Amino acid sequence: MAIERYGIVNSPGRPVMSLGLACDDWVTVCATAPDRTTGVADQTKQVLDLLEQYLIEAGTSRTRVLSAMVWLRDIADYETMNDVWNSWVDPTRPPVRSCVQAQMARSEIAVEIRIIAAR
Amino acid sequence: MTITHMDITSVPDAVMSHCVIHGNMVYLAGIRASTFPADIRTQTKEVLATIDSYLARAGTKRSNILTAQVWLKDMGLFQEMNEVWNTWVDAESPPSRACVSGELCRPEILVEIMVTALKGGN
Repeated sequence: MAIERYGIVNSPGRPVMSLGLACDDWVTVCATAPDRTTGVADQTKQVLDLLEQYLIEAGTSRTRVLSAMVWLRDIADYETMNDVWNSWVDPTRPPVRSCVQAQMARSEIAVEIRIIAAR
Repeated sequence: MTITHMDITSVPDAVMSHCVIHGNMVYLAGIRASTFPADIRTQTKEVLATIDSYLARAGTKRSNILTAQVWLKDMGLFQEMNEVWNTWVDAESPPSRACVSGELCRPEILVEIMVTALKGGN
């Protein structure tokens, strides 16, 4: 079974990885915000927009997300992240989710999200 | 393929499901205790009972869990959480498990566990 890869990162100083993978009817994408000069609300929006871009590229959409893992640099940002999340997610078909605080790879990263979706 | 959503919460809480089923895969949200204050053993027991309940509703059981991600507020709670886990888990068919510490969304929450499971199976 073929694995499709999206957004392969391979530049100096960055980890070599795919941002997204798809196989059969299963898709996963994990991302941080491209512009990390902004606050948690904007970074969350950037991450969700980027995830959606890859979902569309893989032939699915935000309505078919199954599971989400949210890591926050500071759990005090929970409500702010959540407001952005709530306006993005399909309220009739939301994924399961978990959110915890974690130290990020770079201090300017406020949020990182991994999703699993069906297509 | 149809996706089934269970126990959807909505605004002002997080908009999310607590269990999603797609084909043979069952995804559970990060499950936490609901009664506080409670010590780590009590919280772990409640979390595992809630997981059992969702797995049953999804038509599966703890011996079909594939992955478990455990978050502890404090790694000092590992031993006690683990003792509760060890008496609960199917010793013949345990899942792969990771456990790390991280601050959880409310200060009174000591443990959160997220699992994926296979529907059907043995």
